[in-house]
Amino acid sequence: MKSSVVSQLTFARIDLDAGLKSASAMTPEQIIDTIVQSGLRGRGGGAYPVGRKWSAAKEVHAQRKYIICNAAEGEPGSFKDRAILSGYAQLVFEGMTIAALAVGAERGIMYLRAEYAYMAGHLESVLAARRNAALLGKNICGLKGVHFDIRIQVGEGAYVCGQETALIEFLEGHRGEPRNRPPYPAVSGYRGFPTVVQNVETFAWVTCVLARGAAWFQSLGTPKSPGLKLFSVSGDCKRPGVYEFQLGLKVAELLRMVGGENVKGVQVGGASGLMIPKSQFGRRIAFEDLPYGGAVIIFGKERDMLEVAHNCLSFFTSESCGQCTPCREGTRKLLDGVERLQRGSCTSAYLDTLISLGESIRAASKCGLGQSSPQAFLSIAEHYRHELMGRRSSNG
Amino acid sequence: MDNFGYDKKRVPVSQRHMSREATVHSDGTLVSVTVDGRNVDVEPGTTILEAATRLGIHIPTLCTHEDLCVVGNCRICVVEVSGIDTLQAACAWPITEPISVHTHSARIRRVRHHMIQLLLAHHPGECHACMRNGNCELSALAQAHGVTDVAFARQEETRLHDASSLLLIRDMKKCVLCRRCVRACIDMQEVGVMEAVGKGERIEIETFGNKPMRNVVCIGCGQCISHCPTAALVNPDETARVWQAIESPSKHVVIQLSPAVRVALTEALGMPPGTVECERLISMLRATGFDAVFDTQLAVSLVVEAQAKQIVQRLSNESTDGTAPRWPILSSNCSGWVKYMEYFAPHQLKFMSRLKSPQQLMGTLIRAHFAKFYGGDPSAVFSVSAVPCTAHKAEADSPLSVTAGDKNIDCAITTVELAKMLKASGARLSQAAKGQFDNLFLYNTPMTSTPFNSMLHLLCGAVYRRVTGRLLTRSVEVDYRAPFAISGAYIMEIPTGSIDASHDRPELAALKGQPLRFGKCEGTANAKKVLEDIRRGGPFSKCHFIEFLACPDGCFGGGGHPVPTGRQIRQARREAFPVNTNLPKEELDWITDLFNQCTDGRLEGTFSNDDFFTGYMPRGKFIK
Amino acid sequence: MFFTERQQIEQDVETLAAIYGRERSSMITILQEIQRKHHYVSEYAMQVIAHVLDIHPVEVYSVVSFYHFLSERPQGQFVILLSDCIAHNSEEKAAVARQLETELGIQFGKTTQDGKFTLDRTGCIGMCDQGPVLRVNGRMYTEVTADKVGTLIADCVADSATGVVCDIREPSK
Repeated sequence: MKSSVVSQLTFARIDLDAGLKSASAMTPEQIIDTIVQSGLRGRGGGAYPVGRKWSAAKEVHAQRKYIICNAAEGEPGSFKDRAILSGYAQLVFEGMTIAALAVGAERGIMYLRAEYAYMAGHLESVLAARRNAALLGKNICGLKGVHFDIRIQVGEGAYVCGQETALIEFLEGHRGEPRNRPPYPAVSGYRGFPTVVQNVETFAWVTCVLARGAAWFQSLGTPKSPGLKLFSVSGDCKRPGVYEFQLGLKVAELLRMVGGENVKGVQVGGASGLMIPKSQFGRRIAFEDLPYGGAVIIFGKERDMLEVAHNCLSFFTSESCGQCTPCREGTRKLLDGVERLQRGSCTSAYLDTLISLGESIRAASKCGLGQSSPQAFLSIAEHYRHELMGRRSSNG
Repeated sequence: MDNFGYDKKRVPVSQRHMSREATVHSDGTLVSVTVDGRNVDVEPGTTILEAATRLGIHIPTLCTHEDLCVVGNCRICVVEVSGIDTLQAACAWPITEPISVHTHSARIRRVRHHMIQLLLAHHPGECHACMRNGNCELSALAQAHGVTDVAFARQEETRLHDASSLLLIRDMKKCVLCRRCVRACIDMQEVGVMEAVGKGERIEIETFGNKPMRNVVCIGCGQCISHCPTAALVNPDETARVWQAIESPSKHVVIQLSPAVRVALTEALGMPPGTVECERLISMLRATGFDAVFDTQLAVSLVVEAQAKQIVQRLSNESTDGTAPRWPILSSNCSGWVKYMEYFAPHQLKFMSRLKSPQQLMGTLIRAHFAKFYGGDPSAVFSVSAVPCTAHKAEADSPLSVTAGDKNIDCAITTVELAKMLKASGARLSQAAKGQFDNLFLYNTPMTSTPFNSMLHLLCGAVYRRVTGRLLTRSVEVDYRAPFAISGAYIMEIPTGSIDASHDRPELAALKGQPLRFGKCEGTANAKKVLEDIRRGGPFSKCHFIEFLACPDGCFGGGGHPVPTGRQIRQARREAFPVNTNLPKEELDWITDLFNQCTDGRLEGTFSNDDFFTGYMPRGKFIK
Repeated sequence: MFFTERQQIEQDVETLAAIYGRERSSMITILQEIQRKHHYVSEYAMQVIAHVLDIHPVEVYSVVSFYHFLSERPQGQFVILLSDCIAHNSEEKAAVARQLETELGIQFGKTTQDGKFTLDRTGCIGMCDQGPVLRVNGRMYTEVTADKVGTLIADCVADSATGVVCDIREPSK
């Protein structure tokens, strides 16, 4: 198994615990202010402003609060968190500790997807080392009365548990079914307590921001999407792997870096992302334009877009939690529609009906899974319609 | 790990009551919300649905039910909330700051249309042959929104049809996955028959291990049936057996009617909830082919006397220092409750009163006494009981419900089944003549007893009368205590007052000036709390007697009644009868006389004091 | 002392509940331990867990049915999962799939007669840049080709002979 990292990562050049040291000398308000100034947005795909989330959690008066690291990384096409946890787990735990100081939490949980359980031993030893160095446990960083510790909870296989409220449901011993929001986890989360849930990469950037300053982070990327981001690039390219880019990067630039040639389409955002055709390779990966969960799958000219749509929709029909009507029932109708297209027995009118249904599923679903599951199909139908119709069935 | 009580909640958070405390950090000032351009000020935490209702704006719903916690999974009630791109469920959004909501934009109408079509695509299209034809929420939604076609191909697949049990029929091809049954059974009743199993498109509502109903723990309260929006969950239909008996020349078919059934029956015949038309119903029943119609309330009054006697006897036997830990006597007239105890608290069955349910007592009287009355063979009597729930079906079928080889009740049919028979008989309520109950007893006694809506209040009066020698009137200050601050579980403390010195009553000595304490508990989730309270030595452990009813609002909320159900409907049914602690004097006299005849063995026929009592089966909840 | 399977389960659940608490939030840890030790969560185990946590067996059953790696039916000693990631070459993946079925003599979704192997598909497991990928009891095998399948299975058999069946550790590479 290879490490997957291709770029020179900022994470490799950050002084360990410099960020935590900075934060331990600040007040909670100052820590949050630093994060707000940096403009850091969540790096898991939700892109919610991190400072705002921490601020909401801090405001609530509660007996206890939780910091949860979302290491679910279930998005097909995403493996950057695996790389971060293998190589830079200290930064992630450091970021969690910084969040704990800002928000006033004493308990942290890392939700580690079941498939990454092989890393649990390594992560536990990193935690043990931090406890020995008084960076975790009681009276951390020389601050009397300030306690914080982290436990690792391995998952049991459910993509939907990447959604923060479904993740919390899993931890509470329930089915991983997303909750109604509001209230949001920052206000009422794990066991009803204020809970800050962030992606693995987000915590690592938190550490970098506290180590190098908000201005440094703000100076990179774009005004609305400041900073750097890791990308997992796979599919039909010469150099698949984990890359670090500034946000605002054009798709064409990314393709050049990774050796993508004769590319038919790029799926930006994994299975729940958008299929970008060649004509749109000038678009930017940033909050202003394309979603930036970081999973980029490259499809060469031999690839069948319907097969891609089929793969994505199959994934969602089985991974959907099944709670709400649009996602549970609607995604299956879209999949059936793709199979009709594959058999060459789908009318133009029915395809338009499916597209309209896709829009309804996006609008009405209870959580992000349903809200994004039709995207791949919708973007493929929009940009590759010419190759969808009039197919010959593979059965001859 | 700490236990903050939060862990004890049954239902997943996605399906819990709105945690308004979590969202509300306010001093109580109202929040202004605009719905479809109209403004209203609401308390923080009010849902959009509630705000819209106040404005008289109708938002369609499906998974929402006033008795159950919020889920927000059907996505029918979705609305546009200012500043949010995706649509939000109106039933599940607590208002905490001023927002502007639109409920019927073109986008919403299209989305709702799609949601209904998706549900219909997963649903069989045989409405004409369905038990909920004309009373189905899915069909009503489709009609209200002009959905006359299903754009998406229907899925052809076989789904479970379970008719293995008399308690419930499950026809899963009609399930819309609203999870009302799950919430009713786990959250509202704490019995836990069914839950969502699997995920994604393979999700189904299943029993434990997907076992047939006859092999799982179910108490037959039928709350799942009365909350189900479609015919996925229905009462079994045994009317064919009753018709067969009616058509048989050798059978003398009799029916007994309880107060709860007779008020709910009119709903099934098109009347508003709470309409009592007992006399017309009696003649309709005769027209349907029943040879005699009896009043179960008679047996209620007898059970009350028997129960009062038992309570008073126990008072006399209580040790005079009153320090020995004791359990209250637990009621035994609700067969759903009896099943709950048999499954979940078999070791506490010994604290139950062992008295038969009124239906069973009536059935025994009919079998033991009536046949002699009309001069026929007891086994030629086909005894039918109209019951509020399927728990009574199981009770009627039980080997413990037998007297001298004959079943006490041959067939127990629910309100909805009886309504079906009445509708097929050709009789119409508005045109039916007024009839009277038949006389069960040889001598010239009134044929019926005044129905009251609370057996417990009658019992309080009966015990008070025996203990103090006086009638329990409104002048006695009864203290109501609600230890859990939830409706449906409370304690009534009745002071016994000053005693005439010439009365030397051992029961009063045991009381030592303490009031009589009667507990009431409706709903088995409440019952669980009450049992735990008793074990801990809490307020309920000090009661002399506790009446447990498995269903919300007691028999008025039984699962065998017409759907829909709701607080107002059950309240209307309940308020159709008065609550009183004493029967009218003349009635009281002959009931007392009748009771004495029954217990002394003076009643003609084979009835004896033992026939007041029944047995239980300690089943335990583990399935082998 | 000789324990029946049921007695063992009762003891296991009690021990776990004593450590992690008799609350719903302990359920996932208890289920994971029971799954790991007994290779599945039996109906009896579900009832015991429900009793100890004061919830209903159908709720435990519901949770077990939701998660891919918890099962109510006995799984093989080795659970071989083939990742279905779209980024991987579909022909290579299909070849590996066919070879697996041939070597084990079972179809996907089934367990071998001797209870040694369960074969199944899974979604993306975070190895998109080095497929086709197999996951066996927590161990990852990357860039698998059809010709390597036989050796992989033989390794498992050899491991089981030395008692190493379910280990979560770094892959040896």
